[in-house]
Amino acid sequence: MSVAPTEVQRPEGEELVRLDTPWVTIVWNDPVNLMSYVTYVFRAYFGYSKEHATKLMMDVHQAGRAVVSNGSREEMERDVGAMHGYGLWATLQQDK
Amino acid sequence: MSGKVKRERGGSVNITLAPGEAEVIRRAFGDLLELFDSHAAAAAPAQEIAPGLRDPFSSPGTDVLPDDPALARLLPDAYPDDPAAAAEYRRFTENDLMAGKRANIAVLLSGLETVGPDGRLHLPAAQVPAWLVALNDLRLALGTRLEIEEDYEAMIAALAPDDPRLPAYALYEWLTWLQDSLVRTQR
Repeated sequence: MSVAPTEVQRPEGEELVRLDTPWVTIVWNDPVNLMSYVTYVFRAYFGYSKEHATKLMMDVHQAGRAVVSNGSREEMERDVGAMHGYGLWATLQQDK
Repeated sequence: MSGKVKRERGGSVNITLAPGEAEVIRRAFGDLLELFDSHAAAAAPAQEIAPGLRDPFSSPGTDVLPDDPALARLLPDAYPDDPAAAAEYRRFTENDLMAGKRANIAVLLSGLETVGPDGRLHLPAAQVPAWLVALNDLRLALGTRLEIEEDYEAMIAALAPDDPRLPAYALYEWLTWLQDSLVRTQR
């Protein structure tokens, strides 16, 4: 066991407290996937509400891409794999 | 092509197919399975650690984006700007990804075997997700081959009546209708 120091200096800036820069899963628009199906996938896999899933689907459709989940690299690799399983075009990258 | 899709109590679905439609679907999925087979055959076999003994821990998967555009769409890169990470990810996941797609197709094909003489097909609720994903994969492969764009309906409308691509576009549109009808039974 150890004794806590009596005086601490608070960490400054975001960098120190966020040791793990989060990763994100991005779903890209494509001309084949149906809007109804993409919404279904977001609800079925992520468990998102109908409203949230529909909003994300519209983001993908209109902006060409949308961040659909975030977390550790391992978690995002799992999400991307699941999206590929459903036939959605997904990639992961470190959030910048 | 025509057809009917109706949700039953409990989430199961009744599908009514017109004569010949089950056979058309079966043949189209046969082509897709052949595409997967060709890719599996192209993958490097596991390394031999002794004559005749393959390393059971080495992955037999490929590590590059397939040349075939339809396969590339079905098995895309996970890391767009990092070729090394994309290759490693593919090596460890591609076989499972293809196996999952094959499993969904197997569910769909075995369901097709139960089509009655009246064209009716009862789909238990538990099989609907596999049907949705399998139909989507087939549409992705076919849509890539047909170079489907967002405004493809206008493009089809502009084709000459004797254009040889018309039957494939008609199949694509029919699969689109079937998948959309099926997804709408899920709430």
